[in-house]
Amino acid sequence: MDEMKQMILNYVKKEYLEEDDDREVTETTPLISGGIVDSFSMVSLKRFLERKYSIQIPDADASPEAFDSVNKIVALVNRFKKG
Amino acid sequence: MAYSEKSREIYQTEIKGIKDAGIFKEERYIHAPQNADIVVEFPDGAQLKKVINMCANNYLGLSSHPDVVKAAHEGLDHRGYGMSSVRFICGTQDIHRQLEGKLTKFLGTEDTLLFPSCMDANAGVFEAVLTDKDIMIADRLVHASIVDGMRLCKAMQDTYKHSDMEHLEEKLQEHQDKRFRLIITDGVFSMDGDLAKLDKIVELAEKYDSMVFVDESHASGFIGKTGRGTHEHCGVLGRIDIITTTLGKALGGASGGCVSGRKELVELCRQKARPYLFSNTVAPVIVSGALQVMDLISKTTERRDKLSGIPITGASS
Repeated sequence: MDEMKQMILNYVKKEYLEEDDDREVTETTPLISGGIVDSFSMVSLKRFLERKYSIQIPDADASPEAFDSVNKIVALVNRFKKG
Repeated sequence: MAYSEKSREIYQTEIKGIKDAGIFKEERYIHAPQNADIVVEFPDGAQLKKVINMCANNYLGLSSHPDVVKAAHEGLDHRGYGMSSVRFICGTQDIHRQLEGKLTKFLGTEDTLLFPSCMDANAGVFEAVLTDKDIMIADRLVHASIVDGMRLCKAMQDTYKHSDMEHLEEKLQEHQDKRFRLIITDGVFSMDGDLAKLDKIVELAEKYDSMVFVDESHASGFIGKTGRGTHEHCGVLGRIDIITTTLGKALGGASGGCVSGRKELVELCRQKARPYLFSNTVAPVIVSGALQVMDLISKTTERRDKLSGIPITGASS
């Protein structure tokens, strides 16, 4: 797994899972539709990505679908890093 | 745009989706005053049934209390039915300020402003007192009305894991560069019934120069030794900066809500909160009933004491 994927995965686990939550989260696990991250608390993930990778993700692109797995998030970040 | 057959089909499909998901809500028609024993028609047109009501937020049994009903009747006779105006034009009566004064005293704050509901209080308060220089840090299980109010506010948003004080502290450290930090929580969480750790929250707020907001809708009137709320229960009376609460649950159960707290913050709500500015306030008849409720619960803790024998999920005592 590449560094960015691992970084985002670690953040998601630390930020959203309770200590006693033993659900397995991988790069393909549905985060929002799977109930791990809700739209209310998604904001901190967006801010983490913007800070970490020095990008701006417009609100219109920060949709629940775009944040629904680590793989999708990586694709989103790469889109704005390249742009 | 005409309401075409296509429009109808789209909406019917959405309603079907709600039904298929098992979350379609149906009203039960109560043919009696709100009480523990009620007469219900359900479904629509069915024969009436006598049932025991276990689901109202009528925590103190004041919704149909004879003294409250009598006071409401008298209010109707002496102050009329409606105001036909928003507060700041010609929609404020002496009794509105009396009720705000009683709520201020009861909640142990500096000032109070009535809103048509606590939903409206929560919808209006954040936008009125915060700007894009500030940060709102909310418990992840706060009530939907708080989430909506936060979305209407330009301040940055963040959340912390439910009742996780270590996580809250991390967030407070992270946002030290902001002008104001506002920690946002329910006093009693409406879905799970557990209590916020307000003593710890206030401690962290003082350590990291933050303000505290608490929605006391499921606490006012019966949580704490004299029913003042979660802040009384946790020993932090006078140290909460903004409290919102409702008159629609324990405090008579009719309708109405308020923002109560630091006088400058309440004044800013009076000047800027849109649900206050652009809506009539609580009707005189309800204010009159609520004044009687405040007198009843300030005179004796008998009703609250009866409740204290019933376990509350997650409460520490």
